[in-house]
Amino acid sequence: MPALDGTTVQLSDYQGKVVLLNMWATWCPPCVRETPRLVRLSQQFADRGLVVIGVNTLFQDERSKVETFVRDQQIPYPIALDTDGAFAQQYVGRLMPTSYLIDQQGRIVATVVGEVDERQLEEQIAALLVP
Amino acid sequence: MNQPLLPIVCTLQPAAFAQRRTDLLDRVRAHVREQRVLDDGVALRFDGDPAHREDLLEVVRLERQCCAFLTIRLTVSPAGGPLWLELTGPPGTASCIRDEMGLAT
Repeated sequence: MPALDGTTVQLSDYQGKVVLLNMWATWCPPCVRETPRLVRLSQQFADRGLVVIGVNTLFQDERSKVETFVRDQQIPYPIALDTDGAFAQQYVGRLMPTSYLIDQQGRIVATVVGEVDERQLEEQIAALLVP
Repeated sequence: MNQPLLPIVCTLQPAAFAQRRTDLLDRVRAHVREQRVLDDGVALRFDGDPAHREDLLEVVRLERQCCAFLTIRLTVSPAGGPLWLELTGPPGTASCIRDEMGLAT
């Protein structure tokens, strides 16, 4: 998928990593509310190898709003752009936010529909990152 | 009868939907005369203007599509009296609605 910064994002690039994949849109209030929690988690676990990827549903959002939101929220992780809805259709159906925690073997070990519980997710990530 | 509590999630809609909803909520927000925080949501009062009533009916229609977790009640008072829009749902709904509508806490 194309990314907001002009690069591309592919899940296969992160094989062997713990990945937190978050589907969101600027017009989705629970998505907006949970973003600071995701930012904190990405910062907390960055040194231990957690990769957070935001997937914005750009096919029904506005690029300028996405850029402003990412800047205002100081989101440090890559934002992939679902420009045609194909990714949303494949992964989340039609409900947002939805987050997936993916282990080092590429298996989805947790799916959260709705706002993430930061403490619960922190425990799940920490458990996966045990050396 | 109690309804099951759905998680606070948004439902993806066609591309034009988000802009239509944003425009509508901007218009509606400008006409809120009073807000009351309920245990599980918010109640908003509007003047009994027919144009407001049509906008609020459209809010009901759109929110039913994108926010299945909401219980929505629109009260149209007699004799051109005030309109009340109640939006309630699972825990967190009140703050979610206030954020969405840009209402003061």
